[in-house]
Amino acid sequence: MASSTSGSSSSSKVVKIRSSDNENFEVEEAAAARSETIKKLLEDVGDDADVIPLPNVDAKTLVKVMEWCKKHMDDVDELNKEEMKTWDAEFVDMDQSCLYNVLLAANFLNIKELLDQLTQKVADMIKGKSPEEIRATFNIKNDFTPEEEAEIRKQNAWAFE
Amino acid sequence: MSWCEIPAELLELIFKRLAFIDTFRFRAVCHSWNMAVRSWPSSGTLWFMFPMANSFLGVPKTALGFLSLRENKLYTVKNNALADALLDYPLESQQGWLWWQEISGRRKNQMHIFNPISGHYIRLPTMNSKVFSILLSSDPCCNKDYSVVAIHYSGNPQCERMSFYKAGGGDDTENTWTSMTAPLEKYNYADIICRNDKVFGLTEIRTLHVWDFSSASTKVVINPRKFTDRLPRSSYYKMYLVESFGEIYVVQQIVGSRNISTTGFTVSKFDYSKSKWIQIQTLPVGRAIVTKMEDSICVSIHDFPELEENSIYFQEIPQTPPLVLALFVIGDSVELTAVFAHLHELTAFPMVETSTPTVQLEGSVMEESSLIILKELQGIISGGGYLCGCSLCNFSRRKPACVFFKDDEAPSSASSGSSSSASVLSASPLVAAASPLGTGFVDVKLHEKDVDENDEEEDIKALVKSTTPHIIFLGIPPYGHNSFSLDNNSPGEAEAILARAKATAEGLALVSQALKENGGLEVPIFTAIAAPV
Repeated sequence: MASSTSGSSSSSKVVKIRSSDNENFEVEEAAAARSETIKKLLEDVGDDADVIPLPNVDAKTLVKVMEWCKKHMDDVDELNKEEMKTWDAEFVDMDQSCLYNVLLAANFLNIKELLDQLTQKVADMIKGKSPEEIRATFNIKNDFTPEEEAEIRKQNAWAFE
Repeated sequence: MSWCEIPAELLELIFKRLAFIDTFRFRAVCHSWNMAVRSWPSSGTLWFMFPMANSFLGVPKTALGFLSLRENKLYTVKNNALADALLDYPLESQQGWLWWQEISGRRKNQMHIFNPISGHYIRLPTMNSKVFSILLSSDPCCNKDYSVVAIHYSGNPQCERMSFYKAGGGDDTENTWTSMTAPLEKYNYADIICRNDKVFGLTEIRTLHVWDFSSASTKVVINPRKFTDRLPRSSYYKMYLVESFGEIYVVQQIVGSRNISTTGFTVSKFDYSKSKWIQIQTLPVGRAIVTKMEDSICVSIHDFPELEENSIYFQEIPQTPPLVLALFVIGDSVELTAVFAHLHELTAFPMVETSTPTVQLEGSVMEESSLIILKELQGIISGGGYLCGCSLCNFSRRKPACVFFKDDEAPSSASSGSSSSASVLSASPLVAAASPLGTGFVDVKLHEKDVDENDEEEDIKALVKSTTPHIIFLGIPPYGHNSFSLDNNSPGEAEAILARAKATAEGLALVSQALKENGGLEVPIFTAIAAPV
């Protein structure tokens, strides 16, 4: 688990967030505010906020997302860019069900940069694969009706020379 | 939870990051993914589509070329479903759509549009005259109420006209083309585009015409709003109309005095309030322009990270075949950072402009010449073209005889034997080491006398190796109206022509071979979809 690298943020204010399965977390505000959704909620409720409920994100996923937010809460200087790249690459390297949950959470929490990284990861996983292989990778069932499949085949009657 | 049920907006984010070839496979994964793709505009990846139906190239007419900027790759794609259509009819692209008009048979003049990415196919009403150009008001994938504008040639006396067709009416009697205006005969349009129910036409005298049919029923005749301010004249080669955030821009591609290559661009924006063109020095923030023969676009580099900001992507002269693409960064001098051309299938060279047919060379076997360092030229001149005899072509592909052009440097002296040799020497094909948008040209001097042939071959192989997995494209040296004419019967010239043809063909074969060995051009066979699931 990455430790907080900040140190710079003088008043490391802490906010409380609650996962869908009712686990509470304390997160530095600067990290939590990477999420536009949380940031907006914080602005709306002001200092009265007790616990911010996140009904769409379970604890396991929230831990993962907050790990990313912590790492990304400060601006990265040139020196650390390479290191950050490596860290990000390792971060998105997770199994497909975890990836799915984190992707949905990043979408709900509106963390654009994380969303970019995750969608790129999924695109990379699709790259060069046949439809069967894509289904296998993402545990997707082939739910085409025979008619649909015939149509797709017809439309996709592309052959590379 | 399932990836099938992933929200469409997330799916689109993923789709936009896919390489060209993967977009096809993506659709074949499951029902919901397929449905999602059908509902999006077809801009998953930015690509140029080239109809391959070009008799000069000797490639199957059923093939399409897709140049993916993101991957720096040109795919030659054959669609069997389209084979019949492509066999006989011309084909152009607009907003990712192909269109064609049947020119004979039972459904003569029937109009069709087809989107190869989304798989949408639409049969448009018959147009009983020759159509030059088709414009779409919006992408029929996502908007059922799209309109189609056709520029065609009709009437008595025959002249250019504009007609339009509104989809989504439902009533069969409405299902026809409506002629929009008086004939267009007075003006020829340098470029014409359609955006948001407006058609913008740039006349050859460099004024702007705008038709607005947003509120029009199909029966209403609309006249253009004509702006009279003329763009400043430059020695432009081609003008492109581009729309961005509702603004209209004209991009002028400037060529050098000899019309042989692009030397720069000007970009002007139309100021509606002043009714004037205003030249601008930079594009709107975060935008790049991609010029095409039809439907040039101004796009966000956020949507297309393969593009550079404030840049113009264009097809370098020659336009036919349209295979050379380059990048111009506004404000800099012309910077050609990438040249694309497909190997072999598109070993396309400008057509020779000569009053004397190349028949004089008919049947000549291309022999080894002292000029050429490459041995084993296996090809013959036949039927006005060059039949390449390398193992890949095996005499099955006729290349145009137009590799025969004079070098720019020696236009007058080229008729003497020795100087024509020299001119041939200097005009060697370029090999572009095209890493993503390129590191520029590597000029492989295939023709130099003193270079040992084996070394040369090794050089090319090394080059290919060093740039793998990036693809290597052969570029075509710019040309102009300085084509070789064969009517002066100069033996030295003929020899030089042969030599040049030979060298070029050999060079291509060599690079192709090297690519093959290194796996640089391996295009995955797209069989998965057709295989039983």
